[in-house]
Amino acid sequence: MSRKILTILRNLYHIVVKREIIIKPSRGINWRALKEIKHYKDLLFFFIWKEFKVRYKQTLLGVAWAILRPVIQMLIFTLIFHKFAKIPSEGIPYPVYAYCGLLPWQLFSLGLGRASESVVGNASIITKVYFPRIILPLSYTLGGLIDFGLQFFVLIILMLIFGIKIGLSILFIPFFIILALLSSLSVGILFSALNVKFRDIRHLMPFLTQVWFFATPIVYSHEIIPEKFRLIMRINPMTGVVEGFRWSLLNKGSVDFQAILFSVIIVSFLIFAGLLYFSKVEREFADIV
Amino acid sequence: MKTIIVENLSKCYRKGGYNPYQSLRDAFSGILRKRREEGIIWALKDVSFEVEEGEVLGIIGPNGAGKTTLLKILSRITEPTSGRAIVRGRVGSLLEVGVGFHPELTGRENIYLNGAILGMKKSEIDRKFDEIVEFAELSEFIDTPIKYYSSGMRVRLAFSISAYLDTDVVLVDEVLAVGDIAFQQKCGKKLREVSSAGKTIIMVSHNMRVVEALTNKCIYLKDGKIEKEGSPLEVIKHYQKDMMERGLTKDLPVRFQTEISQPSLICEDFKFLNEESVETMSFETNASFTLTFNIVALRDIPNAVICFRIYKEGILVSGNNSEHTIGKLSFRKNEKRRVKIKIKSLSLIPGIYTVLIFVLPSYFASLEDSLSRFYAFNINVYGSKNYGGGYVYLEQSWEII
Repeated sequence: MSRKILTILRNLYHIVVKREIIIKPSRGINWRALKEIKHYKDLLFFFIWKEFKVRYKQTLLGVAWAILRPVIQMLIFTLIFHKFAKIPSEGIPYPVYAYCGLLPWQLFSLGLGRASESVVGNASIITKVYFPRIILPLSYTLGGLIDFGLQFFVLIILMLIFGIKIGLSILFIPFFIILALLSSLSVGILFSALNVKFRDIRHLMPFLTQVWFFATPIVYSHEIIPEKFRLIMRINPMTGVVEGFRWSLLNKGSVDFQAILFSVIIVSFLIFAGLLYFSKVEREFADIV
Repeated sequence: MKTIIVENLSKCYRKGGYNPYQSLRDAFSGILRKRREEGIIWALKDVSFEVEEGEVLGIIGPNGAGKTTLLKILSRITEPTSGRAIVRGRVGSLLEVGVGFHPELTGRENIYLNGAILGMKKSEIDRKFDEIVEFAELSEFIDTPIKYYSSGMRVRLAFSISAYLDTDVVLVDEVLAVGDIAFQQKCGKKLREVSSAGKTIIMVSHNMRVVEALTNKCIYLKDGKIEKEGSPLEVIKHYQKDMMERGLTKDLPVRFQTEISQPSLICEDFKFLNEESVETMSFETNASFTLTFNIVALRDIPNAVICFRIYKEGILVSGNNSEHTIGKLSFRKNEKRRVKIKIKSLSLIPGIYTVLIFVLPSYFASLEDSLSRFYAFNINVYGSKNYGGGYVYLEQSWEII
């Protein structure tokens, strides 16, 4: 009896103190990797920092690009959609309306785009050293928050210019930012793994992103969508995110609870599916990347 | 305490370049499984061994034997197909130096990046930063982007970071084969320090001298299986014998790689001895070199000329034979004699040389008429100082008058 206890204690010692690891073929979601992330916190931050630094190094405008992108987009859309096509914007000044929608969208789409390349682009590292691979899409997605922060600053200025007043709905802002981040993460993780197995994903991405952009009421309001198409729009998880973000910040316009609910459910499902597929392909990353 | 236990580890690859895995499609297509079986390569098959704490294990073998695959599995870079391995302690894998180096970032930034990729915490890097820069001798340039570094500087920086990795287990893959002699010596010294600090090291190398000098246990991996396990010298000899039998001593001209059918003489029990009469395959420049072996005649041989040659990269560096040195030789059937060749001072530049032994029926006989097989061995010649270039070191002194 005591020998059994001693064996158990000795095994526990090896696992906890000596950080014993058993290497063997695995199945299902890689929970071990997720738990290990806390040991690789520093690496996660270094990846985020490196990606940000390298992206803007040696560019003329540097970090200003992060702000210019949505601003220029906003100007173009204001001209075409608002001035020419006279698209309504739920009673909110169009530039603010559009820019406000662009922010969570950028967080999502850029995060998605960068994350899907994260594994393939770092092939040289993952074939030489071990760290939980999930850190790659994670860091590229989280890195988007830096851009988002800068763009948010400009948004505040815009709101001041147009005299938009905030309300209690502002308390929900963190929720929608996190939702946008999670959407980006869920699809990003899925696509980063898909990209390893099917290289045509990178050709699919721009097309997918563009279609998705117009399927979401970012630069137009859902008012122009006929009732029978509204359901499709609601199922689009980004609808809930964008409209929710806009509503919480600008305190005007509608909040479509159904769309938000769809968002949460679909994103949760996508995270699970993404983790499962990522774990599955992760096993062969070093062999096929 | 055993830090590494490997049990029946196996890894297979599909010939088409994809790793077989269970997918819905695979599960349904049992019919196709047979076809798939044929296209499978086992990089590792049922490999089992154990490593004690503080041991330095050397893994040798021909290219494609599975050495790097084994290290990759132990580093968790790739998964085994079956079997398992238990690793106790933090693992640092040095499969390549400078992993993750980004040319746009400075030396300083890359130290942090590479260090983090290797598994160091930021605080750890902060602490060791100055030492790392000093070891690499790069304090002047540490804030320049590394795209402006020479390749030597990059290697020094990369190795320097790896050298300060403080893990319980270190897995090294031929990393010591980089840099100039001075730097290689520095690296060798650091490895010895790490080993005496009680860390467990697994080292893959093609450099027999390094393996002999630094390891206390060796494994010879061939075609994914353990061919021999034991003391470094035993295993190296076995490996060399195998290589010779497979005609894989690549530094010999092709004509020595032909098979001699029905040899009349067999040479066996080769022993290479150094100054202290210790068996070794590594010799120091200008040190004493002795080769002994037995000759067994399978029939009456009226005339035999034993040929002893040293080749480097296919070039004959030195050759001699028994007729020059001891005169005519003959053997009766089943006679067994022991040959001893002693070179007082092996004046060769450090490098890998191939020693070739064979026996001709006469002085002017052609190689096809050789009485014995061609016996080839790779020996390593090393030097404690720089002996210059070429093949031979001529003892010399210089003066400026």
